[in-house]
Amino acid sequence: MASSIGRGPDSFSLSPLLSLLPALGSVSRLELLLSSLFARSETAETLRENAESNESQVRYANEAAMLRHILDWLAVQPNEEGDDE
Amino acid sequence: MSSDSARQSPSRSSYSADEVLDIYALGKMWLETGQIRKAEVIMQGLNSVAPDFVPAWLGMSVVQSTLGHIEAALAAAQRALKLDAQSAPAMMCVVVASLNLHDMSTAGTLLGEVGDLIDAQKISDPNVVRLYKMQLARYQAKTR
Repeated sequence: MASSIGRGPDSFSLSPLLSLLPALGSVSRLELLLSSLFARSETAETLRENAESNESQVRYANEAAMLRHILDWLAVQPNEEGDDE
Repeated sequence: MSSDSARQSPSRSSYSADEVLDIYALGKMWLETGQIRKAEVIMQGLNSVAPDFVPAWLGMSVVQSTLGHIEAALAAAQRALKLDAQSAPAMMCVVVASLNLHDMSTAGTLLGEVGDLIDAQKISDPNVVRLYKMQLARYQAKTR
């Protein structure tokens, strides 16, 4: 007889609201975007510094902060390919 | 969530749809692992670079709700609902926040809409149905 013991709680029981969020995208693909994300980060920082309106400054600051978090996360990910370089 | 809104891609963004989805996945992963502040930064960034992307507004609503910022959670959920008026998850996020703010009128109206969609079998996500039943009971207890 099948048992649920050991399967762990379902996502709904852990957080009903969180269970509403769709499962989209893949974090493992972010590594492939490293170069473009780095370039975007530099651009966002420059645009933030030169933004003329408060709205633009907030928008670029939000983007730059997001990209910094992603790049920091990518920097500490173990290399799954086992590259010796 | 309706499949349409789940697939919704940003139409006003310099980021590709795949980039937005993969960044969202990281924000969702951080939410699931309790790294709420990091998830907040990701969702806020997505709201800035891809303002039409409904899942990131839902994510921001969940972030703010988790942090206890109910009015901010409501604002994010309302933004999601404005972008996709048929999004049952957005409706439920508004319901939860409205009940927390004792706005029984908004909560009751949206619970009625979600109930109608469930009756018409237009909502198949069991998590939405479960949350609907929970919030309906909460609403009934508050208005008794």
